[in-house]
Amino acid sequence: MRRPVAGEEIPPYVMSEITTDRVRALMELMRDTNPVHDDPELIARRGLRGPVNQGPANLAYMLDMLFAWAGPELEIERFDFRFHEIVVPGDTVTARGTVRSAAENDDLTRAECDVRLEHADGSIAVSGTAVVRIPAR
Amino acid sequence: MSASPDPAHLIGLRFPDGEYTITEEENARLRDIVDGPELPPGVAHPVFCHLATHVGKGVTFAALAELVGSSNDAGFLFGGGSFSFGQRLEVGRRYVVRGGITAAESRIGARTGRFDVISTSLDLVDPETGDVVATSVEHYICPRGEVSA
Repeated sequence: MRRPVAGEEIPPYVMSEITTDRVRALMELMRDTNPVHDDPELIARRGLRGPVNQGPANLAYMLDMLFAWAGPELEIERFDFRFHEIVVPGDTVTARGTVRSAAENDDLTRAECDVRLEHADGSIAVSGTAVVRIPAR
Repeated sequence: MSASPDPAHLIGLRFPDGEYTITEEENARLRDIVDGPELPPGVAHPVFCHLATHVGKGVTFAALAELVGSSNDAGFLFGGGSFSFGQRLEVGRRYVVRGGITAAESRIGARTGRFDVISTSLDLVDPETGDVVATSVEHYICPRGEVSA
């Protein structure tokens, strides 16, 4: 890829196939018994829209946006994030980002990016910043 | 709800050291779950910074909630954090997981009432060199009830 520059918009990355099966599969992978992911009674009692898609899955969509943009050789140096709203099966979310600053040397570009995960109505599910290293090719 | 004790007493509490090895099968499974891109051979998805520390620390989400005097029913939740990497995570490499609670403070929100923010910091350590390969800092929100009038 060409080297990123400050102000550059990172191409949006859409995840439209969030399912209860995927939520359950991640529960197994994480050995996670938190009932907000699969207990209808607790979900109703807490007034949630549905089974909560795991935070780490939402973070993965944002990180995957960066890989889709810069290629699989991209390295994450630091990723700061804050959860604002839940994501549930059936939602379509879009990861978006902007390069805040970029500095390059012969071997790589180090870029700081503002990133977010948006619901279809534009509300923010997760916001954050990522510092990445992109090798020159 | 009765007044909760100052959460500062939790600072310094360490989890039992554990370990975690990201297997090829787990890395592929995560890629399927999040519909993610293929990474170079041997490279684990960076979100394993959370998964490996979460599982490796040997304290479940529910147990952590209980430890800090909260519960799933009380609205205990993962509110944010950070991952930092000294190098990329590798498939098939054993990591030691170590860390504990590093910060705890009470806050009052206009809508939420009183709540505590409990922060944990967990390292993935190369057992041969002792180098910290990655660190996951996580902030957990513990609702503590309404503010007294």
